[in-house]
Amino acid sequence: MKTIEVVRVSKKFKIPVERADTLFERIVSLFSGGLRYREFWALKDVSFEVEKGEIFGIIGPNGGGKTTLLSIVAGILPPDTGEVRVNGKVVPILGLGVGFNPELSVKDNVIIYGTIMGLRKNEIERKFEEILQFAEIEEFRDAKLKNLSSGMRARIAFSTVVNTNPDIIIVDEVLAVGDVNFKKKCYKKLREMNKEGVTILLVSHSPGMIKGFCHRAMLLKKSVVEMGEPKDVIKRYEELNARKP
Amino acid sequence: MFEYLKKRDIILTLTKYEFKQRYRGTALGVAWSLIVPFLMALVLYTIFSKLLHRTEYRVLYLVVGIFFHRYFAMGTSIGLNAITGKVHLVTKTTVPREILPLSTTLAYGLSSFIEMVILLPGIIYFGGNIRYFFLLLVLHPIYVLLVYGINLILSPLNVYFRDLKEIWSVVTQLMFFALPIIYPTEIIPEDILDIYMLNPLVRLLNAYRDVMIYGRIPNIYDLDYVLAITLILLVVGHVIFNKLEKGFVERL
Repeated sequence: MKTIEVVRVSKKFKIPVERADTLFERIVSLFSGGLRYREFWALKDVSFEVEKGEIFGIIGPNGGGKTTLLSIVAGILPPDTGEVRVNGKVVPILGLGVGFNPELSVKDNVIIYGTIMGLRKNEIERKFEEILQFAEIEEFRDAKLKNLSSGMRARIAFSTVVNTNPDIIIVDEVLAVGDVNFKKKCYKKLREMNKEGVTILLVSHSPGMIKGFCHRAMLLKKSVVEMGEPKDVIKRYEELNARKP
Repeated sequence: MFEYLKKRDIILTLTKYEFKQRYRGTALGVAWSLIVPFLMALVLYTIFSKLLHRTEYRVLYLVVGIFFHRYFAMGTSIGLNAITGKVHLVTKTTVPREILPLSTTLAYGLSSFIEMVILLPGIIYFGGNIRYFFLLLVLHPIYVLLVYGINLILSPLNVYFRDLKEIWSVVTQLMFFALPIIYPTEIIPEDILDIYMLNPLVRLLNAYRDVMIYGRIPNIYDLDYVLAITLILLVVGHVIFNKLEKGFVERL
């Protein structure tokens, strides 16, 4: 069964040559002959499918459209052309701790973040202990978030997200934060969830990560350069990098 | 278009914490926030007492007007920033975007309601008739919906025009004088009275005074007019929001 189907998706960004973020600038630009844009294709004609229960990796150079593609699959950014079909509940982890408020307590933040990520309020209350335990911050339960280190915040965020019962997780390199042990724990958790049938779409800059973690992978540079076995994709990626001086 | 209303948990949670954050969780917080409008009432009363002497219950008349305008001014100037102030929620999560202006509107609507209820002892002290005060439970939701309609238009526009804040602050200030707060409606010249009454907030403020101090049932015809304008604003707001929403992620 296909969980994610991306069919011929393209995305064009318009970058204004002059700034026009205010009404004043818009009016000025009317007199100076209209706004000029530079068009920029972030994605061109990208198609791929992800099967249920698969871990699918995306690798590519900076500006290759990886984050744009994830945002489109997550339904955050509308594509210009093409279509995205997704079966199941998607939880995008594009940034850890979105909506965190440092002035509020750890518990309040878990509630806000969990709700944003699609948990019901009573589910969060029920799972709160589990979340704290996984994040290893039980002793800070009543602290305000601003008194916690950024690594701890990332841990809280990750523990909350993995408790949201997703069908599909979309991860954008956010796990690069945190110490080695916690990173390991995160990947172990993701793998466990995958065994239970959760589909994972992952962007990484690390060839080792793609080879060791993913079932299939794709090399993205505005369009699909290579897709298939992770080791083939990585080989191609390294060739691509070697060609540049 | 109204699909987002099903996400009750997100709406309630965001509203709750918006409210909580505003008062930093203290009971004194609400009371503290009332110092500004009361000082304003004091100054305005001193200056405009001659004008206000032509109204019944002059102190209450002024205070209710100030508190009424306060929700419009705060609700819309904060609502204006509902999208631009929460960039990460828009660019990194799938939270329906309408919920952002909705939750700020609700949070400020709730605090405005509490403020009005806090006025109750004062209203009794100055001899107001509170027989129909409970009708505030009907009027205030209408007001909240009206402000929500405005915020549905302002908050996406602010993504495209970042100077909207400055322009809008002029509107809210003008609105203070366009509403019968420091003067009675009677001083409005006959020939522009019809235009003056086109402003739904004028009629809504009259209704607030009816239930809060005069002990009268508000004019149903006026309320129908306010409701009609509110519905139009909500529909237009949703259309504009849906149209502009597509460009949010790129522009934020």
